[in-house]
Amino acid sequence: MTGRDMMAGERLSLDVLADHIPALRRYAHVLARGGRDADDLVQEALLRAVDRLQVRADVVNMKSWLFTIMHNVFVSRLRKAHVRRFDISLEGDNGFQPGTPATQEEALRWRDLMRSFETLPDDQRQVLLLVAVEGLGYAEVAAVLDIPIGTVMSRLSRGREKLRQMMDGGDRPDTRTELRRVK
Amino acid sequence: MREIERAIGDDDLQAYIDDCLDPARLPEIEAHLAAHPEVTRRVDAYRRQRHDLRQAFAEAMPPRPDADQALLRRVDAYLRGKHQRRLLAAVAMIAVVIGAGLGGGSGWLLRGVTDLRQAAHEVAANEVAGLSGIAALADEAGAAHVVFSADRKRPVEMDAAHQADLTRWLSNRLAHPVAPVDLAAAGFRFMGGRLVATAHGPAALFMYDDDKGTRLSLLIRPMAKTDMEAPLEAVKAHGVDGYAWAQHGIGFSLVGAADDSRLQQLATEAQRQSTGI
Repeated sequence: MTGRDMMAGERLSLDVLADHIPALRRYAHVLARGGRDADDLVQEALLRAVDRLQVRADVVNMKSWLFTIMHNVFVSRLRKAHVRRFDISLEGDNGFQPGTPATQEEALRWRDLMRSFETLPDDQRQVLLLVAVEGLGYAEVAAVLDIPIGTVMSRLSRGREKLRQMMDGGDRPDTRTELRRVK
Repeated sequence: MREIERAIGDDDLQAYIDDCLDPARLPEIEAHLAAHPEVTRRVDAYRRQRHDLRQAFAEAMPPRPDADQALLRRVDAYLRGKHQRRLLAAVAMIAVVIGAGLGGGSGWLLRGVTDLRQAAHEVAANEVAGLSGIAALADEAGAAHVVFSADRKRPVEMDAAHQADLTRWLSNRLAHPVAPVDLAAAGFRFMGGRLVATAHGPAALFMYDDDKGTRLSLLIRPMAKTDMEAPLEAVKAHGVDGYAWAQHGIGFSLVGAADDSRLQQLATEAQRQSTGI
């Protein structure tokens, strides 16, 4: 590698990375199941990203490329940790800091949705976040998670349906009658 | 018409929801939806869910600009560190070339490059792992021991014969009086010492050996904020076992290839003596 490449990589990386930190935090939150390892995941993903940006400057979709790196960091950590799982906490003490809500009812509904979302299986939550929240294409999600597109589609479909049923009442983990949508 | 309808599957509906459907197929899907109100209800619910999920995430995870800036500073520091380590390796490489050109001494210069590289690598690992306190101290002691105790010819920079000079030099560099402990009663001779660079500033490294050639390293440096006082505890870093402790803001780590009970006994003795340092 030449010095010129290195400098180009450095200049590029910090500015570009800054824009994607919030998205990385969201994905880390989903991967770490709201645990304390999320911040760590973001940091390690960023360090690995700048390492690689120094040797390649042809990243087409920075966002999904960063997600891929973070996913790999997560997977290799899981392997290292063997059976140790990340903290599982569905409420409280999970880094959630609700901002000022538009209306209280909306805020309650979103919190309820978030809680239901957290109960979905890991693979469905990951796909749902990447597609529905982060707006990645199906092929990009397949690349991030290193799975076939067909698997992306079926996880997406199952995740959406399960979440819909939970929010429509029935088997929500926390049933608040005032929020139950009446059909 | 029936054929087309049958061809519309769940994947198409998902793509429709996510706005990534081939525009040419849009009329088909819309006709299908118009004919199937229950499917339309489901699609609408998914669209709403998509919107609500984004809102829910925005609500649950508000922007953290300060934390983002802190992260970027860490990334920047990492890049700078990398830069410096590369420079160091380049300088060492030039030294080898010059050494070879002069026709002599290239053997130990080459050895020096390997050491420098390895040391730089260890420092980087410590930095990235974000170690602090006793953990960082033990990590540094292990790394230094691996590099320097393996050197049969030049394990120390100044030998035991120059103990007074060595002690004065290291105490000056650490801005704190340090001195080797005496482990002769336990069968370990003082060989000498050197100054080593750590991610937390300069450290003194004293080396000992016994009749069988077993070497021990005692790393001493001021602690940085965490673990200013720490009881004796067993540590292991870079495949080297040992013990570490801290008192009055000075950290000590004694590591080497001796068995655990022996190491503990030696460390306890070193700690007893170091109380007076």
